[in-house]
Amino acid sequence: MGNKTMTNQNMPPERLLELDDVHVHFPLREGLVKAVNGVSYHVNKGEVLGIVGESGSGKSITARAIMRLLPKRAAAPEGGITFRPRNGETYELSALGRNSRAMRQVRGQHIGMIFQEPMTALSPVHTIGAQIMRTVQLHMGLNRKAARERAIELLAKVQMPRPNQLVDAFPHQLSGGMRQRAMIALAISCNPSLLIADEPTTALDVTTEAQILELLKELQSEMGMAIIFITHNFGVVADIADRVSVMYLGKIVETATVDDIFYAAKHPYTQALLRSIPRLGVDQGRRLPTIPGMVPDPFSVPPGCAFNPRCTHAVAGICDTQVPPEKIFGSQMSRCHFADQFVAAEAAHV
Amino acid sequence: MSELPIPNHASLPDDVLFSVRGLKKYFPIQAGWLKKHVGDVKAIDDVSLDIKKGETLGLVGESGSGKSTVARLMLRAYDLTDGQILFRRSNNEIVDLSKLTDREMRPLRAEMQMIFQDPYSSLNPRMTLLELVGEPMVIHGVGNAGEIKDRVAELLKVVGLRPEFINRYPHAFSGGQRQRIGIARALALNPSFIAADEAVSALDVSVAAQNINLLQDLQEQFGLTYLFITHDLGMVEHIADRVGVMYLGRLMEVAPTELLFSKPLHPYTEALMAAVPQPDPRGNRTRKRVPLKGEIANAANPPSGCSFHPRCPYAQAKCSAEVPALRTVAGGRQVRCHFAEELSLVGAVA
Amino acid sequence: MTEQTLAAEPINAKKEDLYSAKPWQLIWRRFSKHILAVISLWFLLILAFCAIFAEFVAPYEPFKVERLRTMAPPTGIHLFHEGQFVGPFVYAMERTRDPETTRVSYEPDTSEPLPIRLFVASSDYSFFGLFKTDIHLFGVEGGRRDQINLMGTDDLGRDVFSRLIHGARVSLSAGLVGVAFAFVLGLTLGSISGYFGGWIDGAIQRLMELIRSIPTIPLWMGLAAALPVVWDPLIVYVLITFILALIGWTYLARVVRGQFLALRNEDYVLAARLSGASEYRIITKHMLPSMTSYIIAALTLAVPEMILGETALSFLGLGLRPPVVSWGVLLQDAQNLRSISLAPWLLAPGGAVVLTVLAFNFLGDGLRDAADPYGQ
Repeated sequence: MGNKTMTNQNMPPERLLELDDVHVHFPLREGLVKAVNGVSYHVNKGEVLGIVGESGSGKSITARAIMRLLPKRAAAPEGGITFRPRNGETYELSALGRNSRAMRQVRGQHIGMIFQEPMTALSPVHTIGAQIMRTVQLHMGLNRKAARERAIELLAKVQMPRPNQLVDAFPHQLSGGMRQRAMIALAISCNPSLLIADEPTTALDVTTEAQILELLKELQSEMGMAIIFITHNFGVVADIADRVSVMYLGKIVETATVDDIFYAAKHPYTQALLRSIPRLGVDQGRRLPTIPGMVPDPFSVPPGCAFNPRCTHAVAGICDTQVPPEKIFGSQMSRCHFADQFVAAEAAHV
Repeated sequence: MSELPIPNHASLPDDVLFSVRGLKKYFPIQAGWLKKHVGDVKAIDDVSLDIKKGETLGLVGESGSGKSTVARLMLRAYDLTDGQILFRRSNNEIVDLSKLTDREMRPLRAEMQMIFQDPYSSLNPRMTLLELVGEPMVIHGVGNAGEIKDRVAELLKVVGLRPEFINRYPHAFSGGQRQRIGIARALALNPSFIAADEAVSALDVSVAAQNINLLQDLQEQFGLTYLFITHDLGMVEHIADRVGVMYLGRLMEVAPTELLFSKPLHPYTEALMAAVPQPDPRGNRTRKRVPLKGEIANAANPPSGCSFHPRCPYAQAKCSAEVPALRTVAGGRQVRCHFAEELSLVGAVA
Repeated sequence: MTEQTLAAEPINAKKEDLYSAKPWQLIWRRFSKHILAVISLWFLLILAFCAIFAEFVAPYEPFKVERLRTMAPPTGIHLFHEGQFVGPFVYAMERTRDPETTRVSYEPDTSEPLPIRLFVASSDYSFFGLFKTDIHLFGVEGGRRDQINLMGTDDLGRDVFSRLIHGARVSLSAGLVGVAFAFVLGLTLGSISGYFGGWIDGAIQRLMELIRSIPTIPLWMGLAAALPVVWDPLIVYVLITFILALIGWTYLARVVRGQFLALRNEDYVLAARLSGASEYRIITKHMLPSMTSYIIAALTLAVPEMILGETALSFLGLGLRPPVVSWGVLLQDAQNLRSISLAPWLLAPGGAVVLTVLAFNFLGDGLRDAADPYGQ
């Protein structure tokens, strides 16, 4: 743990993770793709941060940058990523080598990660018990017997039926929902202080999704860990998140508490997205309000505010030339030149 | 087993386009070296439904419920095991599709088309838009080369693509645009019926809303009848006139959309609606959500009696013993539950 | 609904080219990025040219025995004579014999340069039976024994380079003809297997596994040994390639079958069926065009196997026999230790085999990578 530094003075005590102006660029044949283009956010201890965005927004790439799991062809990420799992123990993740001892320590012990496809995390040739045991033996220093007990305990914790038997099952013997549970058990096996969940319920049916969301909420309150929950589904984020960041084309356009995002959004993109979702039990009229045009391809991101060509509030000469600054309203941040005007509009509504 | 009346060629009501009775699709399970027949996977078991001219029938269910298979059987993409599929042709002639051979089906295919879920694999990458959209016309010998070209250009305009794109290949387009190409192709021969199989599920929120609006506009413009298959309850509530809910190869409930969402009659419908995460954090906090237990059963080894009984919170002894029939109850609704009248279930509409 | 999509996005000519590029144009674009494959393609094209016009490219006849020029080492090519630039030339070789060991050795006679000329007259040959000529691509002018032997001579004084070029014709065409046989067998059985499935598929699969499980060299040997020695070399040549193809088709059949199985489940094939397309149209318009590039790549990768098979059989003396010249036949001369130690240039055909096989493999790799220009 040679890269450990002394406590970062700038970080408030409740902070767990802080991203400061993170960039991830992919030099491709067709041009430079700025998949993550200046993202800053933080996660407090024990909170759930939801990250929402459409495909190509860079939401997953940012998470991979935290874990230093970017593909090799990505240019080295810029910006600072600070992680403090415990008081007095701070890691500058952005300064650690992707395969350094400290980074592996962080990945195994302090940050767990779950994916949309459980088989990205699970090995098909080992039983799920063996995989959990290996992790806890390595990072918690347990002996074989204790590790096995811990594995069974974890499987019970993620509400696997018959954990005593399923500990010896191979991933392919389990159903999709059960595999998801096994992957969660593996990710939380060392009591991480942060869990990164990258679209973990996208491939699941609604009833299974509800079960997994319920499980994650229970684990979160029981273990007190923080979660970064990445999804494109606003319903899921409304269900699980405390705070939400909305991403568009490699930038965070709005961050706020979950209630502010859903009831007092200050960015036109957030507002438009929320309007275009068909909601259960709500009559939205015959036509869904849409966002005109489509997400631009990553090689030709519009100048100024990246959303301006699709924005109904865009003002020529401002939005298409100047990159909007982060405007702060208490706990809410909006990257829109006219964010202040939405405050008035919203206030008028209530 | 169905209690719906079985119409014959003469007795089909004038406003019915499709009438399906007792549809079954079994896949044999073979074992051993000699491929001995040891049982069946009942992918579709006794599905009966009517689709009226000009309406949108939504079909919802989780993966493995057989909702796509029903559409594919109706279009005779697969051979069926048993059942009757009456279809009213544009000249009012009534045909039983289940009795036709592949060759006899071909001329009828002009009148019924399908839109696929995956906009990437459903378009031949080696064909230009002209070839793709014009292919049905070439197959059915409609028009010469010049007429086909004009018609394709017109169709592209109808679905919101520029006619100049006619010589492009599909790789030039985004998912949402490709879906529109698929829609243009489906419209090429002026069909009366279109089955949309998860047509917007793979698209981003903002693009999905655009395409849903397009489908609704086209329905109005051309008097189309839709079978809209999806797992997204919000989407089905928005677009469908009536909704069928499927579970494990069987229709559990069919009802007009508003009635279904305000007062479901089948416990599975209730559970499904409760499981959908809503983009409404305040509502989520007050809403009582009891996630459904367990997972969808294996179709090769379905539970006795009602296939939903192991997960049903209201199940009684009768449910595991007797298979309920799809009965018509008050209000012209159909439900496959022994206790539909006694239960008082909660819908999604407050 | 339509206005928004219609209005946006001006048409960009350069992009438009890419968007309406034909599939083979995209394949070529991707292929040309694979530098090793492009180099291999050029190498093989040049080799093919040499093989087709062997009489013209080779400076001498492959069978012309030169008793006083046996086992001559490769002739060195010089540019400067006595400090003066004269262009590429060679020195005449002086044949001497060690009086004690009676070993023949060659010393360059540096008194006079023999310039290398293009299009020189030498031995007569018939140009594909069209006309008679004596023009060769290159050579030296001078006496009968003033020769240029780029790869030396063998124990009968025959020019190894000329024989190599003539051998290329036989070895390369054996590979191509063998692959053509294998292609017919593989495409037919593979598509029957992949399209119909069921017990037919099972039977063909088992047959392929059976053939693949037999060790190839003994099988070839057995089959080749059954060919009577007295048969015409041409018939032997055809039969040898056929024997090679009898084993080689399984690989191609697998590729074809796999493609059929994969394509049968593509949504666009179902879409075509639901549009009323006939089986014939589905196969010819949708399945075969998607498969061609894969099949070409597989064919390219199958050629080296054939060439190696022919070389191995001929080397063992079971395939082609002299007077037919193939690389395997030529390598027979390099079978003993004496020739390897005294005349290592006799191994040159081996080098040719290695280079050709590598080139085909690189080319095949490049084609396979480019076969699906829509991936990623």
